[in-house]
Amino acid sequence: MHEGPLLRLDRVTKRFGGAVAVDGVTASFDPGVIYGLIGPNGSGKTTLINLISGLYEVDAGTIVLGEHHLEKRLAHQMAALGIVRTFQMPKAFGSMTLVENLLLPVAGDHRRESLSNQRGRAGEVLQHTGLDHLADAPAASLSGGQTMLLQLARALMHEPVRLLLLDEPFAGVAPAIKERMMATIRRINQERGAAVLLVSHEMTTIRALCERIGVMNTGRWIAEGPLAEVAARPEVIEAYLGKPI
Amino acid sequence: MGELLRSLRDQPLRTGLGAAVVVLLALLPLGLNGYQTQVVMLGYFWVILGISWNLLAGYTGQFSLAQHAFATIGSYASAAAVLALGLPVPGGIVVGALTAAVLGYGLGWVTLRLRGIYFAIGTWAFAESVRILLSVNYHITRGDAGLPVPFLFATPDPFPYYYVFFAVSMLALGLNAVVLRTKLGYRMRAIRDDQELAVASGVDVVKWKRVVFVISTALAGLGGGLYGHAIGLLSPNQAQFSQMAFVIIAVVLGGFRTLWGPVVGALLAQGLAEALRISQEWRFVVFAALVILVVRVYPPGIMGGLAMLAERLRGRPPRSPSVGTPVAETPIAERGGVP
Ligand SMILES: Nc1ncnc2c1ncn2[C@@H]1O[C@H](COP(=O)(O)OP(=O)(O)O)[C@@H](O)[C@H]1O
Ligand SMILES: [Mg+2]
Repeated sequence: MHEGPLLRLDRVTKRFGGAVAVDGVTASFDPGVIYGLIGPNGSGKTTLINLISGLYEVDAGTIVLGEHHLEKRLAHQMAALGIVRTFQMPKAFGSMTLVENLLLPVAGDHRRESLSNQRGRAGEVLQHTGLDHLADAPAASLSGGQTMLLQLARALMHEPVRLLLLDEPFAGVAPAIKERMMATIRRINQERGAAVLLVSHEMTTIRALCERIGVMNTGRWIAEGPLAEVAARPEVIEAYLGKPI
Repeated sequence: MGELLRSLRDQPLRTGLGAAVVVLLALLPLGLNGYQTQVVMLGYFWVILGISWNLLAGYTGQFSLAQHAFATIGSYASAAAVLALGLPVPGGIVVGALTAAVLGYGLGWVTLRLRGIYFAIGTWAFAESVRILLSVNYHITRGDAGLPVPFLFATPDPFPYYYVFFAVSMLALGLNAVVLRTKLGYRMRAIRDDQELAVASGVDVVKWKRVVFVISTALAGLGGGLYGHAIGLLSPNQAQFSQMAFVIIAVVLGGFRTLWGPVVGALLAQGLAEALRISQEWRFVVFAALVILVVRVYPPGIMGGLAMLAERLRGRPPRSPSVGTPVAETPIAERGGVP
């Protein structure tokens, strides 16, 4: 069994034209831990998730998951390694029903289970997330908040799940749905032993869910540690919080 | 397969209707004269092309404009196999389908990373090249004078041809129905809806687009091979853009992205073309007007409309009519391996 951190970032850098979106980020993440990631808008949080999930290629630096180097892998191979993500602008397969949306990860190239064998699980996940009454509705008919919830439900259908990347999953979500989403995040974390990297602006949810947090500012990784400790650092207060919390 | 049987059982009305249509089409020649049988038989050529294009453009969102060219490749490759290599006609038709598939694999390799309009232009340019090559190499193809090829059957009677075309059409329809319920079908629809999300779900988007392209071009090549040996005379005009336009018209009319749409649309369009035979110019004006009407008033087409009506009768909320939107655009990912 592999010991030590699950994910290691070493001087990861990404530029867009002249602008540096992610600037030499070095950080590591342990298995089974829920991390929060905060930082002002434009500080590079989404870009970092796009780099880890293989949607963007790094300009410099290395990303290592367990024993696998990820920099040169194609994005569809990340799912096989257990990297699962949601999108800040929530994505769904609009013309497909919710059940079909949940079955899609089972159609990933690395999966061996049959679709029909996983139908029961898809139904169970819909029930768990409270979307079961919409099972046969096309995903395009969902509200933004429901689509956010569907993204998390889809994560439950992935196999393996070692690292869950959540990009502002609570933005614009009604409180009732938010509760269900938090329950789902905890479930994935506990059932699968997955590490979670949760980008959010909501300190209350971060406090409720996250063991540790990281802070980004202008593409740099400026702090990491337990919430209370990190929040007390002057550079974090200056960059993000504005006032002590 | 099990999934297909399950859905056939769960929707007895649809299954019954489908079976009734199949039986009706099988019995149709009994009520037609030879000429009419010939007309409907050629309608099935458009059914086959329509199904092949709907798999690619409808379900996978890859708006190819070369379906007619792959049919033409099937026609000429089969002719070459029969005339030059002395293969029996059925063997030639298989060679025609395989040749189309191999060239489809090559064209897919080059064009499937392109998006939307660029993919369409790339495939269209390929189709034009096919037409021009066949036309200018007249010492081999006899160019626009046309290339006589042997018939599939020894008799000029259209009835056996009707049943061959009918059988291939129904097999293509059945294949389409099965594919939609397999993982391949899920991947196709996911690619159409959102390529980035498909990739994040572990789907190798480029690979599966290529697979669908090969299936689609093989089917078009098969249709083209059959067509050549049913008509007995090949022409580079088979690769004219108006032929592709007819495929699009048929599918849009019948129902883009629906299972039965290409069948209903192609047979209807063929009947209409026959009725308007007296005037070639009016034919296209009428077709153009029809397509504009369908796209403006009711994009899901005839079969899409029937499906929505059925949902409403069953008291379900209707599905969004957006299924008729021809080209799905998803944001461009930056990384090389992601299309
Ligand atoms: N695809 C892109 N092309 C060009 N610039 C980008 C792209 N994605 C992000 N950026 C830029 O990179 C910086 C970081 O953006 P982002 O990662 O979205 O920040 P955050 O998610 O923290 O708000 C911003 O200045 C943004 O404009
Ligand atoms: Mg962001």
